[in-house]
Amino acid sequence: MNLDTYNLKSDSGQEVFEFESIGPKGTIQKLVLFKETSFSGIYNLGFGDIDPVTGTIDDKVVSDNGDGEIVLSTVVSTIHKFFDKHPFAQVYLSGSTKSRTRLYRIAINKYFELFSTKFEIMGELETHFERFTKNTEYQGYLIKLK
Amino acid sequence: METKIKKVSNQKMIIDNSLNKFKDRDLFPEKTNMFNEMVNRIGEDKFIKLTGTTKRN
Repeated sequence: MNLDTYNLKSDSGQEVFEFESIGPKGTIQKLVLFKETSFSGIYNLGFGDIDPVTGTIDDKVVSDNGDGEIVLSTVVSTIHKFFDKHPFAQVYLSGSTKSRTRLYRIAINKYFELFSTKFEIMGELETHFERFTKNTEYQGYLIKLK
Repeated sequence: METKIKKVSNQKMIIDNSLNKFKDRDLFPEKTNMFNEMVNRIGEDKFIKLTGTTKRN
C-alpha cells in the first residue's frame, strides 16, 4: 500500500519532523515531535502548525488546506521513521482536541490492517488500556513495535 | 485556478539538526498534562506494569 505523503525533514535522532502542507491556503509548516515523557522510553506525540512569525506551535488549528489525507499519511510515516530509530520505544497518541482525537481514531481504523502488521496498538479507556479493536471510542493509544 | 499539491509516493527525508531546537522547549504543554492525567487515571503502578517502563529521574 503506497500512500501519498509529503517529504520530510528530521533531526538525526528522528524525534522531530517537519514538512510542508501545500494547498489552497498556501504553504503551511507542520511539526511532529516525539517527546520523551517522565517515563523511560515512553514518548508523547505532538503535532501542529508552526507559526512562521513567532515560531510557536498551534496544535488546535484546523488548517483546512485541502490535503488532510496526505497530511495524515505523512504523520503516520513519521511514526514509522521514529520507530526505525527507537525500536524499543512506546508512543502515546492522543488528540489535543476532541475533533483531533476523532481524526486519529479514523486514521487508525482506516490504516489498521497496514499498521497492525508492524505495531501493537493499545486503546485507552477510562481506567485501563486494552488491545485495540476497530470502531471503539478510545481516548488515546499506546503504540509499540511487535 | 489549479492548486498544485506537492505530494510524493516515494517519500524523501533530509536530516536537518536545526530541528533540535524544538526538543528543548515544552511545545505541547497540554499534551504533557493529558499524558500525566492519563497515568493518574490508570494508576502509575499499573501503567509501569503495562509498559514495562521505569520512572526517569
